[in-house]
Amino acid sequence: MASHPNSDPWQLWITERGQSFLLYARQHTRCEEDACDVVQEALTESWHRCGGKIPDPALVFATIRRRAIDQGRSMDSRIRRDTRHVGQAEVWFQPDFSAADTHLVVTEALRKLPESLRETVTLRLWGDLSFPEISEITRVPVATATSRYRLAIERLRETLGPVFS
Amino acid sequence: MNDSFEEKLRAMSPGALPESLRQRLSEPPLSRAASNGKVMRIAFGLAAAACVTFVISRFSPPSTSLPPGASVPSFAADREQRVTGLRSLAVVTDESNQRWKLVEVNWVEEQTLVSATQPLTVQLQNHRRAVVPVAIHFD
Repeated sequence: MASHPNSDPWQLWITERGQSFLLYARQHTRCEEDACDVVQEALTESWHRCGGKIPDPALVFATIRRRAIDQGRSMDSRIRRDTRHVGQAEVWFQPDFSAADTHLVVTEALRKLPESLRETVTLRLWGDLSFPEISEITRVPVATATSRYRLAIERLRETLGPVFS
Repeated sequence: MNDSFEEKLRAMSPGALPESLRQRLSEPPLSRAASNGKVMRIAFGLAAAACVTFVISRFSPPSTSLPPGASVPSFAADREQRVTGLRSLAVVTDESNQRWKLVEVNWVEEQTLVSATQPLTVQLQNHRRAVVPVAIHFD
């Protein structure tokens, strides 16, 4: 197959950003297959909306969020939800063998956060988004996004502080 | 300002993309113009085939494969095609990452012959089906 002229920038961008997109999608979907589908669909939609150029990450995160919500409402997703155990088996972070089970502990600590806090801290830490961008995606005032982030960090610090000390 | 705890969290790399997703994202999406052109070509081909089939079935002369010496019958006759069902089968991804919905199209071809002197009608139905790819776009 002939190589697309933008293959290299695209590949670099996917390599750099794909993991954070999938991390965010995993938190909004009910199984790994749904998360992968949502990421691909969101990237395709964002790509077209940007006229065939690499889209802004904030647009991709917003599209992932909307598509995941739409998918959660669909009949197919409901059927799968009934037949599969949700989101427990995926690994949200790469294992760090020098730090034993740190990635599992962090994943579990994130899972235990309320969804609004988890979403905010994920977009900020691993999505590299600004608070105005996060507030636009989550549809809350910037001050709310900021306070949610601070609260999430404090809760994670209580749980994970000993792990990182 | 970020503290060291936040930096340690940020330094954790999200889990790698599964190989299947990595392959699906190995190329940028096709440009809308290119994919639209592909769809238009397929749609045009299907439409042309349907028109040809319809014209042939509608206006073709009655069969002449009659026994030698038999006279040619003359009936009021009608041929008609109508779609009886559409069913979504699957969504597939082609080599250029374009997603397609495969739709099963069912239709029936009816041939009706009416007796000139008796209240008698004979109708023959051929049920047919085909699978048609339909491009999926995200607007």
